Amino acid sequence: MTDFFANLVTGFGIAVTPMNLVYAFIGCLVGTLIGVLPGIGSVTTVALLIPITFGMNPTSGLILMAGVYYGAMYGGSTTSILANIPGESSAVVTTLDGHPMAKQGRAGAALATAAIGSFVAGTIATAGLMFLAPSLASVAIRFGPAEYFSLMLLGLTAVSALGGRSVVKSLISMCLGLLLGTVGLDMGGFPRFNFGVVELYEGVDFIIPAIGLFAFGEALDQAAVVRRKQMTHFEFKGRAWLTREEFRKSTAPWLRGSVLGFLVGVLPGAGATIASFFSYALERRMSRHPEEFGKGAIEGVAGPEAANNASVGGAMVPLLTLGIPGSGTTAILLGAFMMFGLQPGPLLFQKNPDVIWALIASMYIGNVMLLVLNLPLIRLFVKLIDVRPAVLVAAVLVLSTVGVYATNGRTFDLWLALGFGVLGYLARRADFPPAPLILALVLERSMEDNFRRATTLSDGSLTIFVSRPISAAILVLCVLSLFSPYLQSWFLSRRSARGEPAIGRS
Amino acid sequence: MRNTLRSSSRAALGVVAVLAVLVATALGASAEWAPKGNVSWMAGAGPGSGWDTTARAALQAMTAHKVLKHPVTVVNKPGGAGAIAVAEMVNQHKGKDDVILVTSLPLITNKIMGTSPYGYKNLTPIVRLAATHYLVAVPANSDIKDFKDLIARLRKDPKSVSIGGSTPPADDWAAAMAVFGGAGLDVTKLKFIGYDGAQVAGALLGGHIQAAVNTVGEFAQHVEAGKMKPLATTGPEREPKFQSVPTVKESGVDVVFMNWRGFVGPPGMPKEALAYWQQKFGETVKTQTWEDLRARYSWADAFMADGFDRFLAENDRLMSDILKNAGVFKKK
Repeated sequence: MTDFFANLVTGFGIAVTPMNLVYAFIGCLVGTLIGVLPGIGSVTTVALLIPITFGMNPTSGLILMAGVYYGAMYGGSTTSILANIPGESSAVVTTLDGHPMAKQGRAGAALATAAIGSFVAGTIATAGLMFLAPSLASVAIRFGPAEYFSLMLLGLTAVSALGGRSVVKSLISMCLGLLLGTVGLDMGGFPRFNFGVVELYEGVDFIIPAIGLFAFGEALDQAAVVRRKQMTHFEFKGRAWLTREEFRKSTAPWLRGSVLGFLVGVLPGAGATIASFFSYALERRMSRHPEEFGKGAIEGVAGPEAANNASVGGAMVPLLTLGIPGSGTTAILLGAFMMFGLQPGPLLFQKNPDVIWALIASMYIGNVMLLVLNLPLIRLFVKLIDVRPAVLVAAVLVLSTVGVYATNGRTFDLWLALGFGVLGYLARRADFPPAPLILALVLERSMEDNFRRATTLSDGSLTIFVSRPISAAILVLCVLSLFSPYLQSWFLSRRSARGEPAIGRS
Repeated sequence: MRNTLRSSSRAALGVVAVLAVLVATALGASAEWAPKGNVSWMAGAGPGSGWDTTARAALQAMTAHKVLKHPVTVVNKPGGAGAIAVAEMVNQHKGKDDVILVTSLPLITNKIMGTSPYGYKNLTPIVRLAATHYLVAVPANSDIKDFKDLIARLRKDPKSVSIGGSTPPADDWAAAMAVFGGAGLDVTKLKFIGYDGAQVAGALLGGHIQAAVNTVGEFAQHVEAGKMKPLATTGPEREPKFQSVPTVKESGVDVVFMNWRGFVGPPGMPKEALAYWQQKFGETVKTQTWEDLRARYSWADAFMADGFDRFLAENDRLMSDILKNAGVFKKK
């Protein structure tokens, strides 16, 4: 244990040199900006930094890139909340309650809870990375194909928390997402359902439907009524901070989201997006007023935002201890490590302890920097939406278009996003929730691939999903998750039938 | 529009030809040709991908040793497992001398599988820069003794050992198919589990699969950490890193398998430009920076300029056989 703190002190010693502090700051700033801009994700940015950082001291280079990575997670919530544009894939859920909050004039509170939640999560996850990395990594690799399939299935049950009033409409939206997920090269190496369109070989990058359904859909919806009725002007009321009540409501979701996000992040291939969806579903389940979700519940912002940030720390666990990247960005970071002549994996902590501990120390420092950087920015951001609605709608369209194009640099994607925009508009009119589609699209590939792997291993037998203890336990959670609302109301009705008070007994 | 483009490019070709003749007569046949302006190196996948890394590594070595005097931009054109970039080379850059493409095995496999209308025959092969070799490994505590033992078990019961690798038609998948197919096994009967390349190591360490084939670079650290037992490598000789590990060939299976990475030019690339790039890449692979980068990424030295086109033809036959034997590719 003394070793441990000696290491950390050494790490801080390296990380707080003026040069490294500057790099951490630049990383955080760039990360926040690209997080704010939709389409340009942390994957692309870190990748572009690789050639630039060549020749730099490895520690400084990694501090810079790690700064970008978690900075992007901070920034991703901004456009989700203000303009209903998910800036990062992991910020899709943030739109669900963040944007309604902004419409109610509570953008400041939404942004603040996201920023503080990210800070809490970043700190907890870094501590988790520091204390638990080796033991967690050995648990993570025990997740095989059967476990991943069950986990993705559990992810799908979150759909019930994402929908509106109609379960059927949620399921239809989910099925569309699953179908969309089958487009592109399958495990056998052949493209499916791409109808000869080369741009669809690698499937539909889900940022396109995300921006299409949410941002374009919303913009079209606004534009449709712009002449007919007085549009709701986003008024910014109150402070760019949380009230005591909001702070109280956010605390538990921050903590739950942090732990959940970290654990999901540790599993290679799960990642920030799934973590944020899980957290949202969990918060809605735990809430005493689930009906407020989707209409501006602050817990629906606090939890997922903490979760997606914590997953960054989690994703570092398999990367640093096993050399296995758990997300797109960590895959690029792996490349960066190798460029610096460092091999992440079992030997890294022994061979290059200074780099690792400096990186961990910089994650603490970066978190503080991001909080200091982001809280004043909130004041600035909330002013941005204080413009005429027509102007705002136009700005949303421009920003979304740039975001879609920036993803792959293809005009085809613009048409696709526009198509999804029309779909989003119609869905909005018919009261279909778009979030289940996005969730299903994210989960489909991993679910399908792991199903195929698992059944190949078991020679086609489905018992592999229940005979493996971890997988079986997750499946039990699936069942509980699906039926918990019914069980709950059944219990409540039985109690009230017996004349007992339904709530407030504990 | 297309016609004007074509005629203007034809006109440009004409001008180039005239200039070439003039220069050749003025200076003799060994005239120094060099690109006139900015040169683009295309990569058919995003930043950080294998192609992108290859291009930037080569550029790095060139810049560090001042091999080039003019600016080069790496242009990422992701899509269709590289097919989009290849199509752009064929359709839009015909006859040009200022754009080349970094490529590898998918150039061959995409064409065979029909996922790209164009293959190496539609382009101008320039150089093979480096190669990747593969390692067959089992977990450290496995009771499989060596490569021969593994093959013997599979021969007895092809389903007795689950094997992990990438999904077809990726390079490490092809390596596995080449090795086990070369051993006389019916690869369609194997219990082969395809993963995203980077996840193979985790699956093997977690005990979900009993053997795996992946690049030497990706498995090296786990072998060094004592978590994996290396059985055999697929290169022509033993790996510098693992002198004690026999090659597949030494172990009685007559197979050498490597992925290659290199550069190709657009169709009808001028001869001077071809010679120029071959010479420049030849200089690059001799630099210390390139040596260092190669070691870092575990790329084997495999530079080849003349004969690269013959190598590609050979590679094309090899991959056709592998894909057919694996039952992935059924057409024709």
